[in-house]
Amino acid sequence: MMKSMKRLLAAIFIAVALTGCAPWIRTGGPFTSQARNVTVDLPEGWMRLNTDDYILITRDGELLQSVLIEAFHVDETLKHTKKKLRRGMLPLEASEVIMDNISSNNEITSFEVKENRSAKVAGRQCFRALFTYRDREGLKIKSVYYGFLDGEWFYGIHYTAPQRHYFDRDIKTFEKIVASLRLAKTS
Amino acid sequence: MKRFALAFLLGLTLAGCATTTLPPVTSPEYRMEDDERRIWTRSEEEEKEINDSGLVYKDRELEDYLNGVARKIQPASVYRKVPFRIIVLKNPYSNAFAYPNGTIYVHTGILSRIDNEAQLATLLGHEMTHATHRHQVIGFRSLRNKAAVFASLRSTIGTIPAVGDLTNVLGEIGTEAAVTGHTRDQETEADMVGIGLMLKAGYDPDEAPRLFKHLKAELEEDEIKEPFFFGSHPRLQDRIDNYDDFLKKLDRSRKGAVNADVYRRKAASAILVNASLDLKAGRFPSAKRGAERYVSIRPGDARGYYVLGEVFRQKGGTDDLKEAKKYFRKATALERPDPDAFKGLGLLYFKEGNRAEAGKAFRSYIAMAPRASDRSYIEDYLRQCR
Repeated sequence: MMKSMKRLLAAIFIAVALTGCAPWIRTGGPFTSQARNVTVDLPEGWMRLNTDDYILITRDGELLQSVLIEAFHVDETLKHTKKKLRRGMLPLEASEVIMDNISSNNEITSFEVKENRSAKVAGRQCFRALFTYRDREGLKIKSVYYGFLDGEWFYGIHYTAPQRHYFDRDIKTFEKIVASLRLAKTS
Repeated sequence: MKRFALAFLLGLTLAGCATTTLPPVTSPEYRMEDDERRIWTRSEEEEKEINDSGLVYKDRELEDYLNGVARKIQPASVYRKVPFRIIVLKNPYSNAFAYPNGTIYVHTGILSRIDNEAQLATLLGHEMTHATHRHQVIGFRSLRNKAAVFASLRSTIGTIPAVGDLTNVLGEIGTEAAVTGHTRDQETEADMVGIGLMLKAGYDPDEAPRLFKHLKAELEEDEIKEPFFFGSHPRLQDRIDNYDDFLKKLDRSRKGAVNADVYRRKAASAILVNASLDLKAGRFPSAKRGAERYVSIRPGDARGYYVLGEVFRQKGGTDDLKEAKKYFRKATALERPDPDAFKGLGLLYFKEGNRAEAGKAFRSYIAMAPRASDRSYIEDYLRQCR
């Protein structure tokens, strides 16, 4: 009896531990990330990576489509360029820094900005860049990137999917996510 | 069964012991070996990947010039054995590498730093020697577990700036050529044979160590203390010292050719393209130096002043913005003004609150570049200028 009780407790402990560490969580409805200072409506039936560092969601797997929402301080070093964002930059200037950072990534080739225009997210003027590139395997990827500065913080929301078939399939869902985004606190 | 096992073991032993010394292609004993032929075939496949990647800088005049200099260095008899071909890659980091079949890739980054044809000949002589002295074949034979070594390299090379965009397309042979390079002795051999070749072709040997001084300056500028691809090689300072020792022993009665003007003319466009690549990577000092050099070669081309203006605008300090305005004005005042310079000028005025001047500059930009991808921003800013 004692032995089976111990086994049961161990099984419950493992189950709780595994649930607590689940890397992906099913989405649907409003979601607030205090760490990233954003509130956003996430689509039903997608999966969100369980991390506070950014909001990453996908429906069929990261390689097939992903939406990434990130927020970082302007002093933060960008990964692929030595350029920095600065408080007070115009959306066009911020887009130049972000696009140069992406296009300087060693992992991609044939980077091309197809369209770069101004837009509004969370009531703020932002940039909306549409671009394509080839990934490490040579697959053509299409991406839309919205970005804006709020004081000394930069917010980026981007959607990435293979150009063929997948990009068009979820672009409307992405635009709904963008339209729902609000800042939890403004600076 | 025993016999088969013995034969198999012997085969493995022999394969493992394939000689790691080979005569250069100029030697009467030279014969192309079977594994060498396979390495050449593999090289051609890898080169196709690089050439299709969009990273090749296409400038027919420059390519013809580089190949012309290469032909001055090696006689036709060597070309019959190794058909050298020089290709330029859009990459702001100073590097060059040779495939065993004679294809030599030269980055725009190193072309931008080289001062003259004599330094170019030093570089080409060095890279050609890797091919003529079959360094890669020897290198591949000495690698016991190529797949494991390559896999570990692939995971490391993404962090090496000198390889840059090539990470995606370099294969096994290209990785060895561009990243790990060769042994210390092979590099020294390539340095010494290379300087002999440029000297024989009539170039000024005093220029040879200057090439390595440029590389050293770049490493210092990027604060790279021990770059991976120089890790197992003679350090740059040692190489400079080797050249200096070599030069001391030379008969200095005759001065060789330097050919600075022709080099600058032929490399001008690549220098400007490289300045834009440096700018994208946020390497402002390199971008500024490249753009200044371009302006000194082609003072009538507005694009050079535009890139200089962008360097200062993107640096963004108060003094920088004054400099940016100066260069944008210059680029817009020339007979054939640069449209982007009007945009740069407009953005500066717009942020200063000088809406009248900003509006004027933005209108000129749109008139000159009606299909610009960022037109919608400019139209927004123009509305705010009214």
